[in-house]
Amino acid sequence: MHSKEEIRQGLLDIADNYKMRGEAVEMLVELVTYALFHEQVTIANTAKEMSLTDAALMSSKIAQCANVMYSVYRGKNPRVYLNVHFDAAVNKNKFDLIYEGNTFNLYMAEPVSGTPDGTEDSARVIETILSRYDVADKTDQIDAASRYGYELTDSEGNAVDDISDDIQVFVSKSNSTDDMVEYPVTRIFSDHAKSYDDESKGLRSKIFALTIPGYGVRLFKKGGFQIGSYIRVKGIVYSTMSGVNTSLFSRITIPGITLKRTVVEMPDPDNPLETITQTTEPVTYDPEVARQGIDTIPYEANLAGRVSHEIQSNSDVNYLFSEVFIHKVQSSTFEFLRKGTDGVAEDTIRIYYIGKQNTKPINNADKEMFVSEYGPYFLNTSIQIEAAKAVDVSMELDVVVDKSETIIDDVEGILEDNFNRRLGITFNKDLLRAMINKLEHVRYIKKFNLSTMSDFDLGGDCILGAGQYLDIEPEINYIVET
Amino acid sequence: MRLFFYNKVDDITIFHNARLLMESAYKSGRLDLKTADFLNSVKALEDPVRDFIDLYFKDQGVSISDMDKRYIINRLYAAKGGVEIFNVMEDTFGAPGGDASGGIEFKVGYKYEFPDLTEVCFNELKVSDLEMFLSSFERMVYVLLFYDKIKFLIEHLTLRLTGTLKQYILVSATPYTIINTQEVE
Repeated sequence: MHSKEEIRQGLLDIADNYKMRGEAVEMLVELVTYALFHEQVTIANTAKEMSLTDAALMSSKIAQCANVMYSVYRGKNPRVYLNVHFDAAVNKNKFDLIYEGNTFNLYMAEPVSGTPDGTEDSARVIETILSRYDVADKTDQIDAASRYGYELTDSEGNAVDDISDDIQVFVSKSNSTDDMVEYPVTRIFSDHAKSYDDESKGLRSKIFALTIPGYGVRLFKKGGFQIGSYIRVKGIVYSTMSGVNTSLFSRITIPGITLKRTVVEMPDPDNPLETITQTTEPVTYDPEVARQGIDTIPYEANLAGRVSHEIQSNSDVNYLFSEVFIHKVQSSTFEFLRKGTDGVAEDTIRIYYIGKQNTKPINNADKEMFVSEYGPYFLNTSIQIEAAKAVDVSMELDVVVDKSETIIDDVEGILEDNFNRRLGITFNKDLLRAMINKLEHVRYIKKFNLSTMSDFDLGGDCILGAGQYLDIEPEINYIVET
Repeated sequence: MRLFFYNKVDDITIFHNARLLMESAYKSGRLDLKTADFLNSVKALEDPVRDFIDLYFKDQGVSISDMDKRYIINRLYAAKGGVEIFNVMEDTFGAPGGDASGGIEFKVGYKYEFPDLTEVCFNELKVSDLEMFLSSFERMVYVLLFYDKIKFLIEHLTLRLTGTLKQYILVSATPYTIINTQEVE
């Protein structure tokens, strides 16, 4: 790209060739120079936005991901758990509105049906989805334009934005809305490509929900949609706990349902001879799981593109695991254990993961689902899934600063970006010290002490074990020298 | 960049000069200025699968969005390495509904006796340029499947003649060449 001065000089030469003279020409040259330079900058920026790694705008990244059929994670709304006692018969379908408030609504996460059982104490927990918006719900007839892919749009034909990962799709077999059946939905392309219809086994192929710019969705069905058939899409609009007053949860009232606190005595799983008391509050909640971050998208999308969405080798297990549990897993790694090592009875892939904060951990049902669903992809079907273990490290710092200002946020930023909650890294304390030393207002570090209760050696380049991550807690003492 | 102004405005010196400057800046090539059209040339490397899909849908007169094309490309690449690619072709090139509801029929059979594709059989084929279609198809299969030899068998071929009808005032009539379609093996 030419500099503004080069363009200006070029234009001056052209003006000279045409024998243009005078102040008006100089002004004109300045104007045209700016216009041409601005155009070049705009074109250069647009070209940059066409690259997955260089793009600065989220919408550009999403579009580039869509090219390789990588569906960016659209987030999961907060979950509100109600401990309910049925006073009357209640039947609700998935995504049915169960509570409508001034600032938020609750929708059913799963179908529920319940009737009074004649007791006062019975209660069970139901899961609801909190959203501040109405559910997007649209039924359309498939036409020639949508037979390959159907995009969820509003009544004016504009794409509906901000759809969360909670989505439900019904498709009719004939040209009527009477025989609509629900199809499972996935954002993992390989799951979609491998799925198939088998009516005798009650299997339906998985609909692929591709995230498009604006966090809308475009849906693809194997073999395409039948022209003339009907499709109904229901999607929960993404919203967060921000602006939701949780104290209002105690005022939730639902016809036919009483919210209760229950206290249950149950055997202690650690000591069967003892009992423990378990209290279930009337309302509890999990905050939202955020949408996929702009920093990790290029890596994950490139990985998806590189494996062509096919699970071809053992090393692809990591990609698959982190995608399947994207709402629960921050990062994961794996090791391959030969029979007899580390107590395994057969060749085993052991996956270690760090869970996302403020989300429910991976439970046994999740593990069983993953092994049964994806185990056959791999040469050895023995897969173990374990939460990675934290190595707690205390960092004591005496820092000489030139100004009476705190640096704790900066230090925590360094730890978060480079060391804390990261799998498979090599830790070097001198590097950490150097990073802190370079912070603004830090003149020098007088004391730098790391200690841990674990047997982890913190000297030199420390390579973390496969299932370990660092959790460094800083404690800073300031010495001001102006 | 384009400037639009009324013809008469060009008679005013400053506008005339502005037009001259901008035109010359682009045309002289001295500044190597890029226009927005340049962005269309920024695309991935050559991709025979994409080329075939472009050709096929253009040939069928079907308008299909870029996103849908990319979906089909990714479906084919996801099946790369196995004869599953032919199922994906039937699944995706032939839109559901067949001709009756505006879809396209595309049926392809195969015999794969490693390392030869001894038979790729099209039950129904409607194209405008058979040679271009087959060479493009072959290039696509080449990147999706390992084979040494390939043989095409076409059971029913419909050649569609395409072109632009132009009206000429002719002094003498020129006869058309009559093209008879026939089964090709």
